[in-house]
Amino acid sequence: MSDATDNTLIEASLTDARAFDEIFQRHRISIFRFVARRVGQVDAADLTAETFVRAFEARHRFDTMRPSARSWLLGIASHVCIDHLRRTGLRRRRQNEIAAGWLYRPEDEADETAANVDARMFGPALAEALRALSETDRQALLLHAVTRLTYEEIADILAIPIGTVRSTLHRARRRMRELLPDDVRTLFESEWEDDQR
Amino acid sequence: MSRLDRALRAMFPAADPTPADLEVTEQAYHRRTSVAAASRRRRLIVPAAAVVALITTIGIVALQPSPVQAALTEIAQVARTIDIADLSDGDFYFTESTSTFTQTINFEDGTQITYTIDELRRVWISPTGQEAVIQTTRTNPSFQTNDDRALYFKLGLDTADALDTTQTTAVENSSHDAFAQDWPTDGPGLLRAIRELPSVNTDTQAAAQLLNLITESPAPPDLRAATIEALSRLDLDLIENAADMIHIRTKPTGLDNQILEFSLDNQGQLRHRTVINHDPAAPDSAVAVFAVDYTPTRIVEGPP
Repeated sequence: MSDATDNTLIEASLTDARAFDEIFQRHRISIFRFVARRVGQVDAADLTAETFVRAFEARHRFDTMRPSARSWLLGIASHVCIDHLRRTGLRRRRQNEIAAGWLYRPEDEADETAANVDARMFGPALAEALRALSETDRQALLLHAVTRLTYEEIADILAIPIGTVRSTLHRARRRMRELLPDDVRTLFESEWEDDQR
Repeated sequence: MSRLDRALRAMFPAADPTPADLEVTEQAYHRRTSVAAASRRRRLIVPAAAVVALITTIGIVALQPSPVQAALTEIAQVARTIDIADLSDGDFYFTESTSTFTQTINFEDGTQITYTIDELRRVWISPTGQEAVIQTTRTNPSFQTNDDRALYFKLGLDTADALDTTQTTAVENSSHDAFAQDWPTDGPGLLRAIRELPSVNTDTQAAAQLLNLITESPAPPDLRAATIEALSRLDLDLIENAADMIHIRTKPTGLDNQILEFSLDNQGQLRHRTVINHDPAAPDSAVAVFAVDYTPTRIVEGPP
């Protein structure tokens, strides 16, 4: 069974539900990490389980031409995060929800790496700029920059062509540059120039 | 990665699951998928599929009974006369099964662990099928390499698997497949209803759905008998017709990559099920994915 592809296992699960357990075992850690980045570790275990339950119930709709279920599961996890934050709807959470299903958690920053210092110092400005982006631009930028998904995976999750992902990311970064205050933009300026090359 | 990306990434910090997180995820997933499997919603009838099913059924009935049809028809006749349920208050249907699973876990850095693990499963189901208690015990993990074994324990996967620990889950508002809808209690009618399910396109899939009705099941005699009659109308191969048990296999169709083997005792109880992955282009590469042995379902006084 260890050699079976995801699509084989999902097809198998239509006749024996237990076959889906290996899909769960294979992807549970990466889905947990994806969910934990978006909503925090406290809720990640429950939402990871929710992701696989939804996937299990929708497995007959999985496109078996795809050998891997990863991007399909990431798409479901993304909706689970969105639904979770909508459902829980606590004021603090909603205030910190930067994009649908993305909870900004400044209190989670623990160490003093350069990136964390940037996040702590400029997080509010970055958050404000992110909020001003269109929903698609925001999602594409966060999926690419934060969760390091490939263009193909982002295309799957956002249901847009892969070429559109590239142009969307380009536009999102350009808008971020326009939206940030001058002093913050200057700090990131050289990189945006790098991005244009 | 650019400074902006690093800053954005730091705004949404990563977290690896702890053993406790994995345990919560594992338990919630298994508890909820066991309910989902038992309460799948049935979809609209597809008229064309119904016509095809009817024509197929008429065609099969017109043929002389094959050995497997004859044997299953005989078992169905016996099953219709046997009611295992002589119920008193607090009685439950009880089934025990033993199985071995192979698990593969992939990590983002490319690390992979493959291991097999045994599972003992005990299920108590109330007479209405609405309440269930599921008890599982996983034991004997077996690894391909010593490195896999070391990593398994280092990462706390033994905790996630609840190794050597009996896990008991109570499920309320469950609905066993036997009660998921008002199934016809005649073989042809039941087979038509099964073929109308959206996930059923082949005889292997139909057989699997039919077997779900009598797996760990409180199915009454009429439904159990109809299930076996419906099975007799599928295109099946007889492996062995022993004195106390019949062993049967579905045929590969090219539409699905699986074969299902199952065994029924002479009272119509499901005693064994194996799912075999089968590549029509490489028949020698067939490999059993799951193999489960069941005790006969019997009546016991409530769960522990």
